[in-house]
Formats: sequence, C-alpha cells, structure tokens
Amino acid sequence: MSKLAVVVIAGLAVLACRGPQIPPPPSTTPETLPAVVLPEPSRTPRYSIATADPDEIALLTQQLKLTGVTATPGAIYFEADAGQLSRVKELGYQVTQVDPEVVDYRIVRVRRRGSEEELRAQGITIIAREKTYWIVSGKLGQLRRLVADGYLLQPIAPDEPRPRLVRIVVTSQDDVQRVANYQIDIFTVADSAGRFTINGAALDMQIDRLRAAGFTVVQHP
Amino acid sequence: MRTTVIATLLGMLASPLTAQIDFTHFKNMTDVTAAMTNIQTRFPAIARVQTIGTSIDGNPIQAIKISDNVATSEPSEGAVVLIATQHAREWLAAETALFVAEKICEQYGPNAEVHADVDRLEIYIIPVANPDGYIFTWLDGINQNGTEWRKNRRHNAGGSFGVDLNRNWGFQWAAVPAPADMNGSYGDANETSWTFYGTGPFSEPETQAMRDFLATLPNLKAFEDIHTFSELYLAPWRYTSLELPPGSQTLEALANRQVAATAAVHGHTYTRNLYRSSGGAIDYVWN
Repeated sequence: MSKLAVVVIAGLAVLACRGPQIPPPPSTTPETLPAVVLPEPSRTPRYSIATADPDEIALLTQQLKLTGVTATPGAIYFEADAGQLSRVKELGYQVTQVDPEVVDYRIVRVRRRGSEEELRAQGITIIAREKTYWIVSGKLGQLRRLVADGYLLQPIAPDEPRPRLVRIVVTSQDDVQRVANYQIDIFTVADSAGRFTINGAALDMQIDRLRAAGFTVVQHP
Repeated sequence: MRTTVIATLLGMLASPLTAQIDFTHFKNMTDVTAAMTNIQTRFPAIARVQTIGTSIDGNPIQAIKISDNVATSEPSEGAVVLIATQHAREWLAAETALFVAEKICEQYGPNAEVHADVDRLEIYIIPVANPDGYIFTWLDGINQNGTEWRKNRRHNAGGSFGVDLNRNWGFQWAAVPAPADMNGSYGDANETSWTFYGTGPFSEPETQAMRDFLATLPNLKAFEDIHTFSELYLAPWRYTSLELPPGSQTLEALANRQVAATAAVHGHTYTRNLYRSSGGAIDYVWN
C-alpha cells in the first residue's frame, strides 16, 4: 500500500496576516451577575488510582467504562460500581476512596477582597486577575469555605478566562519547548542570532509560573 | 469604462450561489456554508457537499467532495483530505480551503492535470472543522474576546469552555509532560488553558467525527491540516523530536516541494519548526 502523505501548513496567512489581538475585558459589571450556586455535596462514592500515563488513563476509561473521570497529574478520580471497582483492583491498582468535595472543582469569579494570599492559603488557584475580580479554580469544599468567609462567587463569562499577550525571549530550542510545556498559546517563534522570541498568549496563572521558573515574560498592555 | 460598468452590473445581478466566491472578506459560518453550496451548484458533476458529523452544539461538520462520479463512492480511488479551522479564530484557513476547492473545480475543465487528478482521486475538503468555535468567533457584541477563540465550545467540568481540537486526537494524546512545578492544582485549572487537550483522547464530537470519517477512506493517500498564521510547514512527528517517523524521507520531500511552491508564488519561505505538541491531527493520521 502506498505511503500516506501527511502534511500540514501552519501559516497560510501570506495574503492577509490577521495577527491575534486580544481586546480589553468587557465592561460587564460584576454586580449584575447572580452568585454561583455550588452543587450539593455529592453522595456518589469517588475513587482514585495513581497513574500518570495518558494512554493508560484512556484505556481504563474506555475499557472499564468509568464515569466522572477527572485526570490530574499523577492520579485519576472516577465513579465506579462494584463490578468496575473489582475489575480495577484485579488489574493490580491500589484504589483509594476519596471525598468528592476534594475532587470536584469549579472555575468561578471571586470578587476582589483582601489579598491573593488569603485565597491561596485556602488552596485556591488564581487563574486570571481582572480589575474587580479574580478568576479562580477551587475544589467545592474550598469554594464553600470562601462563601462562608463572605466572598462573592460569580459565574465566568463564556470567553473567560482571558489570556494576555506575552513575549518571551529564550536562548535555546529546548527553552522554547519548556515554555510550550506550560500550555501557553504560542503564535510565533522567531529565531535570530541564537535568540528565540516567542509571541503568544498566556493566562496570569501561566505567566506567574513561567516567571517562577525563571523566564522573563513581557506582557503587552 | 463601459465594459467595466457592464461587468459590475452583471456582477450585481449574479446570484451569490452561481458567481465566483468572493474572497475579499472573511466569511461567517452562514457564508462558508453558502460558498460550499455555491461550489456544488456550479460544478454538480464533480462537487458535492456532505455532512460528516455534528459538533457539540449540534452544528454540522461539512465536507466538499470533489471527484468524478461524485455521487458514487469509489474506494479504489485514492482519497485526499484537507481540513481547516480546527482552531476557530484562524479564519484564513477556512478561506484557503474554500479557495482550493473552487480552484480545483474551475480547473477541472481547462487543466488536463487537474482533470486527471479529480478523475483518479476522491478529494474531501472540510473548511471548518470546528463550527461551534468558528461561530463563537463571529459573535461580536456578545463577547469581546471571542474573535480570538481557539477551542471548541465544550462546557468543561469546572465551568469554563473549550477543548483544543488539535490536541485531542488519539495518538500520543497529552504526551508532552507538564513541568514538575505544575503538579497539584494545575490539573483542575488546566481546562482553562487555550491548549487544553480534553478529558481523554477523542473526547470531542468534532475529532470523533473526523476520525470516523477518515476510517471510511481505506485508500487515504494524503492529509493536510491548514492553520494560520506563523508561515510554517509542519510534518510528523509533532509529539517528539527524538525519532523520525516512518516514511520521513517522503515527508521531507513533500515538505520541501510545498515550501518551494509557496515561496515561488508569494516570496515567503515557510520555516519548518515551532515546538513539540501532542494529540494533533497529523500525527494521528500518519500513525
């Protein structure tokens, strides 16, 4: 059989380069949005096994028809009936039952109040900083504690969280890959005299982590 | 002058469904569909629009089939598949796909080489592989950031939207490791990334539709995935630089030919490198 020819062009904008332009956030006033209603605590048992192999996760999910699967680095969480649970154990996995409140999560707006550190102390991840609110990821249990502490949680907009336009200059192709591994949205990589200029878009969370890893990130206004 | 005026008037009278496709402006989803219908209407003997699947919001994913005996499936003929706009904001990819489709059909009559290719191949062109995302990019006034939307419109578990379709294919899905400092809560926030690969390989109806469609083509000869805007020509493997794919010499030769052909027309020399990414369409199809 003939070899299949697979090719891709990424960048046909020869005639009309429409470069990404990320506009400022909309003027939606947070006061007009209703508060997020967090779901009641789940009564469905949740289980966890340790695995970081995506193919393994895919196979387990498909073959055992697991539901409610949440993959995190190093582990997956899932719902299972007795038969599925037995099968997972037969395959040699050590299964741990976990509280859904520490597994299920939501991405929400949190009206600004106090400092980010107060949120981080609760285990909350800050994804984006807007003028009057943060966009965060939190487990249901964590978010319930925020509500109890008086924070206002609101739904995110359909296009949130919004990334920022960024430029990162690195000195090796390996570093280009390291930046890419932060899952930022890379538009271009220009190679000139041993300097690789990466233009792309990144969430504040990703910018924080890139900077913490020693990369210099220039954020465009 | 008089000729120009008459031509303009004739152009105004011509139905959009029978005139040449207008490539002076970008098209919304309705206009893309109309352009596909236009090609089918003008070239009924060789062009036919077909639906290969449905998006998560229920929008059709449509392909233009171009071949002789277009109403008949001819598995013995080699198949060529060109997809575009997996990434919603890359509007020029959709235009390019439509442009290619129209040119092939227009050249079927006058150009013997194109005529022969159309006769011996079944060519499928999918201008918008991510219709929900594409429609979202056109919702000006409803959202202000939507024109830069990249993903589909999956409502994720945490409440955010979208999976990057070109990270959701089932070969080496999610294989590029995240740095060690992303452990912990990053997994939960991961769905907000604009390159979020989904909850599993082929978790999205759009990638499922394309996978299933490709599986109906036993004699697939070529596959091309059009993006914008970095002026790059990328070939397998995309997930690793540590090994060459089988047939790498063929890929290299094709790449060089296409880079040269593009440079000959526009004077732009496409480069060949960007960064590794996994779960992409071309790696899946090549594998």
